[in-house]
Amino acid sequence: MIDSKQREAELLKARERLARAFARLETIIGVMPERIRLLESTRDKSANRIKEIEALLEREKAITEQRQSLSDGATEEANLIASKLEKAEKQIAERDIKNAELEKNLEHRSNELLAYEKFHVESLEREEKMLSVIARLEEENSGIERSLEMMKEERESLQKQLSEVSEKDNSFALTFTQDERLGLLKTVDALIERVDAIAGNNGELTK
Amino acid sequence: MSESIKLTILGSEYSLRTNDEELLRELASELDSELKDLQQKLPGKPPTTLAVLTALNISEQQAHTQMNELREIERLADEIEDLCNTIEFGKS
Repeated sequence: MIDSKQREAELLKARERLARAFARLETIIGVMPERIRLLESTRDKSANRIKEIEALLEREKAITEQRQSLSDGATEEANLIASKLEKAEKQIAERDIKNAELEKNLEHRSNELLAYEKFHVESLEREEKMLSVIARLEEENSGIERSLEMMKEERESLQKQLSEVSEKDNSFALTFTQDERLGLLKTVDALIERVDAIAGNNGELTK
Repeated sequence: MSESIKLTILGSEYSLRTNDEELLRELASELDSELKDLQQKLPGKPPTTLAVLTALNISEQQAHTQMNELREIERLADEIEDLCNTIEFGKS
């Protein structure tokens, strides 16, 4: 509990605060008419501005309605285009499937072609080898024929020698001893065997 | 201008100077009435005792009055400051 002096002091402070508050209020009240005029002016301007904004809003509303109408039309057109696009996409999908099948078929044919080409190349190689073998065989054959010709010539020469020897043998039959005749006969037999052998070889080669 | 007046309180006469005779007479009448009421409640008590008890009552009333006044002034100052803030800053 505060004493009377403290109460007086508190009261004095409170009264001073109240006086200051009143002074502040009076100051505010003093400028209130001007402020009220200013606020009224602002209010009038705001009212005019509101009217302008309302007019703009009406115009904007009309424009928005037009835009909405255009937007509806555009939406309808977009839906139509979307429908066409959907059909086109469906057709493209079907074509893609067909293309895939064709590509698969083409790949299969391509593989077949590669196999045929490989076979063809191998055939050509085989043909080339065979031609080479044929050429070599023909060359060998020519050589053999030449050998045969030479042997024929040699045979004819030997036959000629044989006939000459026979003639000599006949002419010198009486002059040769028995041993000489046997020696000549062996020589002739050896020549005949040799000719036969050559003839036999030629026969195998010509086969 | 202070002038001298005569007042009677609880049968005794007092000669006093005052600038506000009417107020002083009214206060003296109220004091005399309170003393007489107390005298009826406490018969036989000497006037000094009655005066002390009455002074004590008056002091108590004054203390209550001052506290009420203090609270009222604080409340009023708060309201005025809130009002000023509302006007000046647009908020309380």
